Amino acid sequence: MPDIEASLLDVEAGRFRSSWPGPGVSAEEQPPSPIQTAGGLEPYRPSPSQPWTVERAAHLLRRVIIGPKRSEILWAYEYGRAHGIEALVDALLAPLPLPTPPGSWALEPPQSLRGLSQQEVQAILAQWRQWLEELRLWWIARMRDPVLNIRERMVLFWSNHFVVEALKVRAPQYLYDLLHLFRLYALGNVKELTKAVGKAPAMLIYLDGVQNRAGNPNENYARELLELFTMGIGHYTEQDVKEAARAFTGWYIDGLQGKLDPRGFDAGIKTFLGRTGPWTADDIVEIIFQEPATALFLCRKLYRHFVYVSPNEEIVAGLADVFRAHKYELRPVLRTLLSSAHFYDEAVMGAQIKSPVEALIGASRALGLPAGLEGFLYQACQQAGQDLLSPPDVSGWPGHRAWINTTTLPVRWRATDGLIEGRNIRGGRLPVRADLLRLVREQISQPDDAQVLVRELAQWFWGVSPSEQRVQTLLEVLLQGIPAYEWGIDKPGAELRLQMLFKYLLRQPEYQLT
Amino acid sequence: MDRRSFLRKAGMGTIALPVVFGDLPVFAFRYNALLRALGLLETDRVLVLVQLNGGNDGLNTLVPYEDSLYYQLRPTLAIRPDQVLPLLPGLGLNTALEALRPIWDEGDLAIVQSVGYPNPNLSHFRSTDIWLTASDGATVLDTGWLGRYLSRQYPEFPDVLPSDPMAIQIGLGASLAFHGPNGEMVTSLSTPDEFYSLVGEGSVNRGVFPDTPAGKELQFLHTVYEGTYQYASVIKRAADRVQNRASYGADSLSRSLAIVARLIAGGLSTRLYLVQQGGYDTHALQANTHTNLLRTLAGAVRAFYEDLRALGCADRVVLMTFSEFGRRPRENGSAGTDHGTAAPLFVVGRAVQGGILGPRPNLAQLDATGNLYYHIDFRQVYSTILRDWFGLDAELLEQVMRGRFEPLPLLSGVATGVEDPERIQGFRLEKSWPNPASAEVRIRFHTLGGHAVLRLFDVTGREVMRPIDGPVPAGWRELRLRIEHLPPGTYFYQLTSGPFSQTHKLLIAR
Repeated sequence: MPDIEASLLDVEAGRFRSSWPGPGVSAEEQPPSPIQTAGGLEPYRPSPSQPWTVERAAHLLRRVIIGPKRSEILWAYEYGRAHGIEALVDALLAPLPLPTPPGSWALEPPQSLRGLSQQEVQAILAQWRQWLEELRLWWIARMRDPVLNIRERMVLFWSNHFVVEALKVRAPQYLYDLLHLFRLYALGNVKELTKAVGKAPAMLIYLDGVQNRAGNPNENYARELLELFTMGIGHYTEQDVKEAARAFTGWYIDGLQGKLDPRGFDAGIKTFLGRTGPWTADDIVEIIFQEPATALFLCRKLYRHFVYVSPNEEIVAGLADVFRAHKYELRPVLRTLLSSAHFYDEAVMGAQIKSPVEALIGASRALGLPAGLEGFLYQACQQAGQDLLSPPDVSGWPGHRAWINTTTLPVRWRATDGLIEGRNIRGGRLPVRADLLRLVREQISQPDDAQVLVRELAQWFWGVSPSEQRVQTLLEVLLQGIPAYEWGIDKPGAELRLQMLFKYLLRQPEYQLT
Repeated sequence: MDRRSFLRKAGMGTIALPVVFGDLPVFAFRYNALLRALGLLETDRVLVLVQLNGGNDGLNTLVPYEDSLYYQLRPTLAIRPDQVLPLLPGLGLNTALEALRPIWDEGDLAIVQSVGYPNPNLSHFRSTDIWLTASDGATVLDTGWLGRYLSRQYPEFPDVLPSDPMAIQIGLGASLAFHGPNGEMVTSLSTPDEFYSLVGEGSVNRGVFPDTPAGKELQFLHTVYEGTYQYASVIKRAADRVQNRASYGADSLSRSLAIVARLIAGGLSTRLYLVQQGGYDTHALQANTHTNLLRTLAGAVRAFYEDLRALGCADRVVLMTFSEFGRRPRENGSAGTDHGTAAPLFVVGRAVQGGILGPRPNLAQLDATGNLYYHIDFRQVYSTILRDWFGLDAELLEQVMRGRFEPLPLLSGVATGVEDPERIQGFRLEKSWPNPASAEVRIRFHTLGGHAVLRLFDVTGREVMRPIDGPVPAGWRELRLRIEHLPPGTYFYQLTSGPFSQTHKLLIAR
């Protein structure tokens, strides 16, 4: 008999030796290996085996905006068919005017708390908490914007890259300022964004930049800049962290801006990543972006956000080439990725797990719910594990499977039920609920045909195409025993049946996929 | 329950037998039914992990209050000698930990100091992962140390979910510690009531999962869906069965431990719990923050300890704290401390051998980053718990820990259900010889006398022989067993005597 014990041991040892694909990712079954496809970064061209379909258009929109409507998916499908995929992607990546701020407070420097009485401080902090709430709701309203554009998706990406936590930053003005920066640079130059973030008051507070003085360095920002924001662990030494920390000394906050105090700045010679000189904060960023590891690190992160949890290193390397060739401008990189054959491969479709923002704020947008639910959506996302502006720590949310556990899953169920029934998570009333009759009338080609209805809904809301058995289940949920030919949206009880169908659709595992 | 009655109960078999088991691990994937039959999946011992997120400042926790270097390195942050509860000459607890004092006096608190690992990493994330996966600084593992342990206890996961959660984490998220080779093995919840009310009643159909990336995610989701439905009611029932009998603080750590106490006393067979306390990353203005954190920690642990005693399950619970690293001995310019390395950790429980283990931190000898050298590898602590608390034998232990780490004298005799630790050594089943065997096999064992049963099982768990079932004299015995009538293959033999049981594998080849 073969020596099973020895062979199993080998399998296991080999498994444990598997290499580390990137930050926060595990290698083996969980998650599976990178997606290897025939398609690389060359532009996707529809072919008989890879046709341009409504499913592919839906795939693109789900990854680029938050909660597409079916009409938008059909628009993207037609536009792509008529003008080509690159033109469609360009339209989604077009620059947008900046939104108006949540209030005039957002543009005014926060009041200093120094020298105030305990009572006065409490009053200001209470005001700040209220404005923070306003800022969050304003942000959620932006995510539900009807314009088909990638920008809010990028703001979400950057806010989970250059992470800060509201609890430590406190002043909502600084948080707004940082979000503004993310919008300004959404698809812009990442090197310049990195320089700007390092001087942003929110970051200076969050990673103790304001504590970092010549002679008394504080390593917090320098370390996270290298480890989490640009290069990743393994490409620098502890000494590099210390030297970079010296170059970041001397920054303080003046009004809504970070400024350099020459007296607090360590102007001495530093040796950072092998280069020696009297480096400043900007010099350090320049040096970091001379390192090949940086473009790879950032493209790996973009890949994980837009494509799949396990980066395909060949694709990542190709993106990094584009990134460097365009001097760290982001738009060409995303244009390449989102129009590539790789992105439209079957294997990529439906292989991501939605974040709470995608699943819940996305549901509210797709269901056509009017404004007024932002507070509910904020709380639902928070309870589902995505508390906007309060990520768990400086590495942000790990995402993907980490979103799903026995605590967060029931919150998702209750929240989508709530949008459909007009109830909050504890069962109280919401100001509005989804008008499902109107929704299916507007969005479904033949809402009176039960078969068409459930198929089009599954295609719209589910990340994977349903099997015939799953279609049958959806029909059973909708019809509740009546024959299919009796179904019609004008029949009595139709709305209640639609409610049950939608609740079921959005509770299913398939809905959590994108 | 006192120690004696625990022993009595164990002898009467009302509690699952403590099991010391042999070289089964790799076969566990295949012969799960057998493992169940042999009782290898049962023990009622519980480990509660308290994770201190951010890097707890060890030097201000267990204070070297007579070390002048300590006061030089920390001109503003050092804990003054009058703010220390002396435990040993020159070494004492920060008074913020006052609530731990009675536990220390009972001999139920062990402090392991200078705990760390080679090539320390100063990144929160990397170092946390190192602690959770039990890797060294150079290796990256993607399974947690408890995930690897659980995957051997529940080899059928995720195809079959056990009746009770395999591990419970209070709070959001699923810790990497419980990440097994086949997925997350932990159930997380904020409170049992909320969990139940959110989930409601329901079920999810097992579908067919295509072999695509999306299919794999769908399968993962199905597993969590199933576990959610199944465990919500199990957990609520356990929590509703008992009330806390100690008064806990209002902080979230205390609330978490209060829930854990109810779940343990309420009869869940879950053996692993994780709770967390955040805020230890004290780069700036550390003094008050750290004092408050320690006070909260000590208060929560004390309430938990009292509660378990009142609820009658203190004997079977061990609590351990850990943090990704300590902090730098020299304070920084912001009245805080930067990321450090080695630090002390606490182990609490009736089964714990109270005292301080490990050498004191040497502030005169720091590494290139100005940090302490470690002396006890944290994996020694893990190995001790897996071996002496959960009864893993050397080989299984080596697989789960991916190496050999010298265990520490951390747990006392009560851990195995007897008062006299020497009696543990009184029972032993050795590996058979020759191996593989063909016609005859010799099996050596040592018992304390009395009734013993030796049984031979085939790979399906069917008993094929019972050469001993009766009184056996104390001491070493050797059994010669004729096996020529048995077909070649893999067998297991198990010796049971009183509360003890041990199993080994036997290969028959011709």
